[in-house]
Amino acid sequence: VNSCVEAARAARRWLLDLEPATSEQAEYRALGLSLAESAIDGEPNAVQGDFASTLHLPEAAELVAMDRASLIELGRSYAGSDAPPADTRAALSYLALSYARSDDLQAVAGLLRLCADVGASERITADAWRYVLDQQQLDGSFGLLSAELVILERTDVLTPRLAMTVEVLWALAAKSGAGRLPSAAGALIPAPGASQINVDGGPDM
Amino acid sequence: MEGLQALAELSIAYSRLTASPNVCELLGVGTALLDRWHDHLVQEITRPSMAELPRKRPVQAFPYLLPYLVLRRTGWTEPFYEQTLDLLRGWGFPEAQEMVPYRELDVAYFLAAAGRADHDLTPFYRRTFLSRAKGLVHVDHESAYSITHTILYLSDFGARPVPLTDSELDRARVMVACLVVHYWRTKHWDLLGEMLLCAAIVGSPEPALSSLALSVFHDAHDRDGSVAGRAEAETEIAASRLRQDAEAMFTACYHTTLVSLLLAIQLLQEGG
Repeated sequence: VNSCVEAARAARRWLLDLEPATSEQAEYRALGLSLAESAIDGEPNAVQGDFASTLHLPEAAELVAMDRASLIELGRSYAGSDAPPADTRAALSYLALSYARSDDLQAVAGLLRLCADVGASERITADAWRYVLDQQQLDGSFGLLSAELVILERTDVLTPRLAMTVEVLWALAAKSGAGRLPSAAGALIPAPGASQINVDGGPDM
Repeated sequence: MEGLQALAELSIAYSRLTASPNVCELLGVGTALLDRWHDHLVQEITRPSMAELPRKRPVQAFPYLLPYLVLRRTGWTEPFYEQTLDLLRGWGFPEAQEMVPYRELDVAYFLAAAGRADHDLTPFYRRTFLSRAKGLVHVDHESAYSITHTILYLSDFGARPVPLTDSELDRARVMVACLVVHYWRTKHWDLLGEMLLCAAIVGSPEPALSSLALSVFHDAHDRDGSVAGRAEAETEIAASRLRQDAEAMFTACYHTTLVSLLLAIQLLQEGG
């Protein structure tokens, strides 16, 4: 828990020092700061809204068969309160590890958010969390994206890093018990794949 | 080397079946089929071009010896191979050859199982990935195969309990359960089959998930009982692009189909 709070504090410092160059970056920054506060103090965010709409999780087999975009979408929209069956919770935590093996920070963060929501076993998710925290740069931002950005010839390094940082802070806020995403975020967070740098399955693991 | 590996795998399946008459009965595998496999294995193993190779190239000897070592366990011995094994020992093999740890375990296991050595496998296990890895994330294909082979050798392909401490066994169970879901998601039927076999041997902390994965693996089989190692090959077979090419079909399906057979043997043994 301490390392998660420390990670959120470091990310907040990075966001505070950041000078956004575009309105999109400014929105990410504001959202990230809001989520960082929630991740640090564990309290629901002042701008928390009612973005979520999916009330029931699919069964375990369906979750494993789901494509990455649908899983990420599920992570954003889930707002159920009933405890899902044990195999569903286990599937979510194992999927988080599976996407970590594929070096897909965005998917792992989304799955860990779901894991936090449904109370998945921390024994299993601990390694996925370790993977997420290991993706933090010394400046506090999240994502080890440099090689991929070079390959993709992307000149805007900041926006993908902001997107990844917000995804992780959202998961950290959920882990801290702060609950759902601020309402404005639904439109802001890029659709699955849009900000995806690490293509799932890229590293053959 | 591909044909050699196929021969070695066939010998393992043969050995496993001959040691499990009750499973043979359940599977409808009669002595006629086993005799046919035995004759084929003996014919291949005793071909001079194969039998002489371990002496000609001791550094590469083990893959060529493996089918013989497996068959030796079933009671069949051959003087030329016996002499070769003595010669190799005199030349310092297999110890002199440098290998990755799970391959060392591989050699130690098959020599011990064949009655040609008396190895405690535990020190070999301690150098493998399964023993040394501290997390569940950083596992690539090679490491995954190391994990499955380690469990298969330690358990004598499921014939005996894995000689690990409770905490080591617990770690192995969690690792395997995680990888079952990973290879299920990525449709890597070969490694999913191997992981399910290992889960059947060491047990699973999530039996319900293992059962679901087993159904998915079962559904990946073709009507003739074969199963392709990867989903991409499965798609090509369905589109009949591979079906016309017997060699390509063999390459795509043989290993995973034998894994499936070993899994069936394990599950049937547990069940009855």
